[in-house]
Amino acid sequence: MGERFLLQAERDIEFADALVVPRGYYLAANLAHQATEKALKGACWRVRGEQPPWKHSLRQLAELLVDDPKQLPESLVAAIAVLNPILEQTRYPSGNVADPIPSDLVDETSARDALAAANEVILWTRQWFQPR
Amino acid sequence: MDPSVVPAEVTATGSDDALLCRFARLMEERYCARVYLFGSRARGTAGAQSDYDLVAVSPTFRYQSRFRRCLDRDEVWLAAGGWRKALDLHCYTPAEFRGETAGGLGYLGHAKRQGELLRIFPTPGQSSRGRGAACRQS
Repeated sequence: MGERFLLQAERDIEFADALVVPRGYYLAANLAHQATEKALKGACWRVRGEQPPWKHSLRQLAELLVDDPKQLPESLVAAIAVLNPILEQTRYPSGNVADPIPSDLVDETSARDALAAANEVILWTRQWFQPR
Repeated sequence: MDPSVVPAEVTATGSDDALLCRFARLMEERYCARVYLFGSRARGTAGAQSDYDLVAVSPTFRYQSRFRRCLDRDEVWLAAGGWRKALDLHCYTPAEFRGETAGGLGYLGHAKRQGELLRIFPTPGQSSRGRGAACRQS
């Protein structure tokens, strides 16, 4: 089952990347977060042999793959930090009517940062899918 | 204190509350932030795997993009004792927080209306910097 999640994550990130050119920045960022979540959930399934928690916390999912927080690479921690605010900011319009809606909130830089971060995390998860 | 929110004190009576209070203390030290709890843990309906839905409100977020606030949240959460616990942290300036809660729209407005937006008070500090220390700006 974990492999199916990783495969879906790879498709997601491919299409997320394609959304930047037509300026679908908020969708690209949202899909980058989704792809990351699926890759981490897939790795959890693969490593732990059980369903992952059906939560959106990328850090929690990553922590379930290691025995100690020191085993989380700095680049991974930094990538998750970039992705953390994405889901909230790209999902629903906020309750503050003065705020921009998600489609007006995310610029190209934020979208590209999210994509790069997602690729970093997905690359990290692939280690659990190598042939043994 | 923000007059738009009537706080209910969360006391450190259980391990979860102690975790929340430690996190609130660290967020106060680093960001001069107030921390609020909402969602299932505020309603008292949480399961063991439920997220910790938190809001941090700080004036230091004012000059930051919404995508760059509290980038070290996971490290702060870990330092507070949140290993393998799901954190969902939303970061607002005081003005944004008032906008979210005053009108009653959205999830925070709903939580406030239901009396499910709880202020988390820091545990008595052991910090060498003490309360009101200089806060991180980035």
